[in-house]
Amino acid sequence: MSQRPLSLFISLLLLSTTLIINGCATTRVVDPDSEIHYDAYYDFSDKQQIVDHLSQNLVNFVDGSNNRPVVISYGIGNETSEHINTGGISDDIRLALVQSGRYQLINEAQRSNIDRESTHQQSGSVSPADRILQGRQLGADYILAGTLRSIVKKQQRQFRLNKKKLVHYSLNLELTNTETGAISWADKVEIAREQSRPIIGW
Amino acid sequence: MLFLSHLIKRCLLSAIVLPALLLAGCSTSALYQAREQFYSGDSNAALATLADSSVVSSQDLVLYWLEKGLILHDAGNFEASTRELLQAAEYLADNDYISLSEQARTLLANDWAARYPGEYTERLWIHSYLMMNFLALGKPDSAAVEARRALEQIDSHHQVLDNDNFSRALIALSFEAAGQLNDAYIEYRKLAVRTNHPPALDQLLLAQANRLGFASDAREIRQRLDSAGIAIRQPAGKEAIVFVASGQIPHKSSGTLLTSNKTRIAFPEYYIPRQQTPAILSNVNGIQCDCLQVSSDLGHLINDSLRQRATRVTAKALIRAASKDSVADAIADKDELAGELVRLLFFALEEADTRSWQSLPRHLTLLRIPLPSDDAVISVTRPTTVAGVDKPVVSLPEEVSQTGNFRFYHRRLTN
Repeated sequence: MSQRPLSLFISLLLLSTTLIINGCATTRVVDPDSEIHYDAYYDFSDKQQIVDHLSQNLVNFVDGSNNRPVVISYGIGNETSEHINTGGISDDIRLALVQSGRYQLINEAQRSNIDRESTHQQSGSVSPADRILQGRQLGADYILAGTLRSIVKKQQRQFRLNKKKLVHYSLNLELTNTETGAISWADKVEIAREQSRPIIGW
Repeated sequence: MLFLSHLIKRCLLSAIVLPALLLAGCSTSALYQAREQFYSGDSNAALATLADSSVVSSQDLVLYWLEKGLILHDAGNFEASTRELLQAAEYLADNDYISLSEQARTLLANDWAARYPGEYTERLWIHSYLMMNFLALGKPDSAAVEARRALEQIDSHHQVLDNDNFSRALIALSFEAAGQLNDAYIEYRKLAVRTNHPPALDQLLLAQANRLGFASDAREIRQRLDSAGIAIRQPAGKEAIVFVASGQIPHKSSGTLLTSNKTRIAFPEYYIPRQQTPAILSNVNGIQCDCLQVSSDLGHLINDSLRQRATRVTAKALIRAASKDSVADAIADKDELAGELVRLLFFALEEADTRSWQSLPRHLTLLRIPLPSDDAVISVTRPTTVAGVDKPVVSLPEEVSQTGNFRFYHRRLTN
């Protein structure tokens, strides 16, 4: 007779332990190159895909000879309905171009700091022999700029248990010749994804 | 013995009734307090009351972010206001589903037991205020993101939201500030059709049509201006954008319908007092300006928004009344006294959901004033009933936020 309460107690203990273990917060390392999507919207994996595709094609645009074109990046405009920091995309593309060794990149973000440092050096605090030479900055041969756009299409209102949404992203990137104004290179990446969310939940 | 049993049941039921009455139908008191402080002119005290979200129930979290976001906006703290309003928008998007647990609660109590979902118009105005914030912060790209979100909202409930001219003008302006001229042109054109082509808007459209190379549109607009005898203006270089908010949005009240002496149905309703959109005059260097002025009456819009979902609200109230009747009848079959007490409880619990975003103004106006030079002196005034005395709204120049060619000014008029 005394076996029954004991087995009940053990069962409850096992059950509660299982529940506690399952409910515990966990942290795991994720491979940044792996593709992970929690919903249909833009995420880290999309950024990787966009950067890999565009930077590879852009690197192959020049032949890698000694004449390395000078490029200035004017960023990527965000024309989606999400607050996406497109600076992450342009930074990564810039990084890929620098690492390829086929381009020279102008650091536009540091211009005011360079001017400040230059003024400081010319002010007399730095010996003439150690001062940087003025008027030696590179002029850009090309402007790199692009636009990220999205189209969101929702399923028509009807009797249904799930709401479906189709999200289409496209990123256009262009390299414009600063002397002629001509677009010397252009490419785009497209990503389309469908999301289904239940209308009824707990 | 029977008497004792009834007494125990009564005590038990009272123990259920009292907390239920206290919990149901009560909005978080901190929200009431903060709103009162805000409308009495003490924004700092209102923000102190709403210092932490733990002062509100989980059902009222959205209202917490909305009220706090708007108070911060009116105080000129656009960065913090943006954080609050973005949280509200995200929460509403994440919880856009029918919760079974909430529906069960609301069927036996009232709609206060559910998370506040926001009226369609309120959902749109979250994006409107975010657009104003991002423009003030010099982030036109982010304002354009909110403009697209606002358009999604308008598309979903266009019967009501198409009438919000202020938000439409703000959407167009956000696109324009972000350099997305094609999108801006589309929205300005929709606004022109809705407002019967006011000359100031036609001037703006003409400049944009020329810029975008829409020759046939430009010809049509030019003809319209010519036939009205209006001289075509050169596109302005810099412009002052003045957002004027005035008055206080009407509050929801509870309407009651007695179906019998034991059952009542409560539904939310608005009483919209007659109120003219405040006339606003603008002068540039002392000369009256025929500037673009677009206004919305938020009171009428929110009333229309509630009417739009009136059928659903009524249907749910009827289902709730039937559910409560069934439960009370079932209990009364077993114990008549307990059944009557439950019926009394349900009767008392029947309360319309009168929650709303109450720090909103009654009217929102967007003024667009061309600036002939950087040192142009402009004044925006509101004519009053006192003869010859106009109340100043804005006197420029003063310190402002600037994005591209636009200088932004925000004013909340309290009376």
